[in-house]
Amino acid sequence: MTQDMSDEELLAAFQQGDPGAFERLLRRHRGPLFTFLVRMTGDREKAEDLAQETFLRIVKGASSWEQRARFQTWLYTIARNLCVDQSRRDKFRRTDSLDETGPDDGPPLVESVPSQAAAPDRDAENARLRPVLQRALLSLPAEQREVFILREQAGVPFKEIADMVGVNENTIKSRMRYALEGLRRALASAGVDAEAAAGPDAATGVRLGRA
Amino acid sequence: MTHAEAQTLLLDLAYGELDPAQAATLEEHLAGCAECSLERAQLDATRKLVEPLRELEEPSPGFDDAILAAARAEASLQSDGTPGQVIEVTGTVRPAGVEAARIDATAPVSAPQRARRPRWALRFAIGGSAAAAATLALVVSTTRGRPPPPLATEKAYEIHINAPQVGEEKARFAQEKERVAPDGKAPAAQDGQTRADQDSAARQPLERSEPEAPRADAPAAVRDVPPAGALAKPKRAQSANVPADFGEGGGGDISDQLAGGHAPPSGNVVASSGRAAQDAGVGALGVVSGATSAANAAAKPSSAAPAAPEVPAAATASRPTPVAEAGPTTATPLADAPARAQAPQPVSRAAGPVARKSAPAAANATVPPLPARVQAVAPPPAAPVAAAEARQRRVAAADDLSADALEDAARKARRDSNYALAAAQYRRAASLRRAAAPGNATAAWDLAHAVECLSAISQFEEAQGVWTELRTLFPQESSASAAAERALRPGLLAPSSSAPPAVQAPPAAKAKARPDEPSGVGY
Repeated sequence: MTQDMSDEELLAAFQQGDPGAFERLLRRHRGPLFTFLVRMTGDREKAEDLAQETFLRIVKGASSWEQRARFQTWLYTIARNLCVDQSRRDKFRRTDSLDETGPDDGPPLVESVPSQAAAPDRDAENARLRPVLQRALLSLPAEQREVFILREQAGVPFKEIADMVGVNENTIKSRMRYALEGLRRALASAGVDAEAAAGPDAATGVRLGRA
Repeated sequence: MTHAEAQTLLLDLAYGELDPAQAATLEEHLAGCAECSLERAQLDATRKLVEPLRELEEPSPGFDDAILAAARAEASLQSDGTPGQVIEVTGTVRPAGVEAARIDATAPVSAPQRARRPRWALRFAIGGSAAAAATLALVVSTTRGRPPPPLATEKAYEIHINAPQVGEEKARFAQEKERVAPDGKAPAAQDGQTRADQDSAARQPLERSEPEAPRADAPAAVRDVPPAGALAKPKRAQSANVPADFGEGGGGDISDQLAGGHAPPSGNVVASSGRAAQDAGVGALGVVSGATSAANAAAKPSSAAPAAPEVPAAATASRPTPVAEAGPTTATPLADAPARAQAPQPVSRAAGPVARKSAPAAANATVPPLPARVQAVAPPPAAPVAAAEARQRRVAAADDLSADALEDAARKARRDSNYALAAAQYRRAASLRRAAAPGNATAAWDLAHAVECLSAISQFEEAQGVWTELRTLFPQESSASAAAERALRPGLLAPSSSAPPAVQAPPAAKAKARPDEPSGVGY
């Protein structure tokens, strides 16, 4: 029965003392949330820590939760705030250590983040494209990146992203446009022909260039 | 729909956030607007391009365990509506000796009935009072002017303090110097005790000191004493006055007193029977007080003479060997050593606070003046060692603070692209941290940052020197060393190490090195 319940209903059930309801919530959201955090941080371990912390905060705050917003908005707001805190710490650390990339423009951190999930439907093209995409994504400014991931991957509507981030909706849309434009440029400079994706004959929508 | 309105809705259309009516209107516009149509095509193409990013990542196995455990715990609390296991305790609590007040709000209010006293009782009370007054007057008139009766324990004790030979003294002084040098740590710190422990130990009452290592704790009393040049008296003479506040553990207070000129006048020799002091419950403090006061007297014989006439002039040559060496922290009472007491008036002014603060039992006891004889007190050569230790500890504490400040300043300089200054400040911070605690990992990172800063301005030779220093001093700090090595690599690979030194790395290069560093608001 709980399969058909909404997030908010599951959380209400958890508030009434049903741990199984929270388990459903966790299974429903852990993948998207973890992916969001991986995309945001570029680090699986860090993302896992942040995801765990996010769910633990949900657990602790569940008793005082009131349905004024969607559960998903609450979840991603917590995750985003944790991400911002982490980013600040990393920024401080990074300023001190300069250890992100080698001086010879070696592989960035994102390339050391292979997906451990064996997706059977992922074709070889996507597997080759994926690191390039991740690199391009991490090259975006964080405020554009978070809007892009929240909308594109987590499926959060623009209005809710605006509520999460605390800016108006038009600003969110503007950031989204910049993000898409930036990605297109970054991919083009990486040799991925974005224009080919628009063509009707492109098999997967992309083709790898010289990269 | 205008072109501008269509532009604002293109994203909503692409992500399906428009209601059907709006979507239809926009589609109509797109059919007739090439620019909007092209933009939509680009949007769709880019979305298709980044489609692989939508694939979900899965956390590692076991990710759920801690969360579900927490959820179950939380749910068990919420299901019964209680904050946890409730232990019900029943019983009666009655305050000892106090009856609970019973107030009857409805009881009639009446004035208390006063018991009538019998007349004979009044007469008896008046007569008794008169008799008592007469007795008191008689006693006062007959006892006034008599000297106080001597105490049974009155006895003159001589203070025998043997000064070691000059040769011995020099050898011991050299030994002390060795214990302090070369790393500048106090002996106690070399024994593994942290500085914080020392400081706290220095502020503890005397009973916590360790008799086995008297010299280690000796500087505690003069820990905050100003530098020697700032004071007219020798260090030992100053520390001799220290016990005035030592019983309360106020090392700082002592130094304040000394620095502010509130120290009791030197030469106030406090000496009395050790037996009497022991009877009064005074332990080591009394010993120390007497001994250090004796040392004080020795340091200023001229002032000691008028203040303490009991002290013979010849007595100002001896050195309070065991007691004074142990300093104020020696807890071992000496059998024949002078103990603290309240001496005649000039003396009691100095000794008074000691008694009040350190031993209340002794403070309340009235001890008649006892003759004391202090043999000579020589200026102790251990005083400079103790002062050096105290100064080192003080400097180390200050270094910790200034290292933090330096690191903050270095970070700021680095953010401002002033890499030369940042490198210098990082190196200075590292040296301070090392002086405070050798092997400090923060110091290693300071050096690594210095290498990075120096590399950023192409001072590769110097950077390499710092890197070598880092690897030598902190062989275990591999991550700091690796960070420094990464910063150095371009310099080592450079054909000439004599690159123009003041060229700072452009900010764009840094941005490239950190692609995920946020550049906008909110981060």
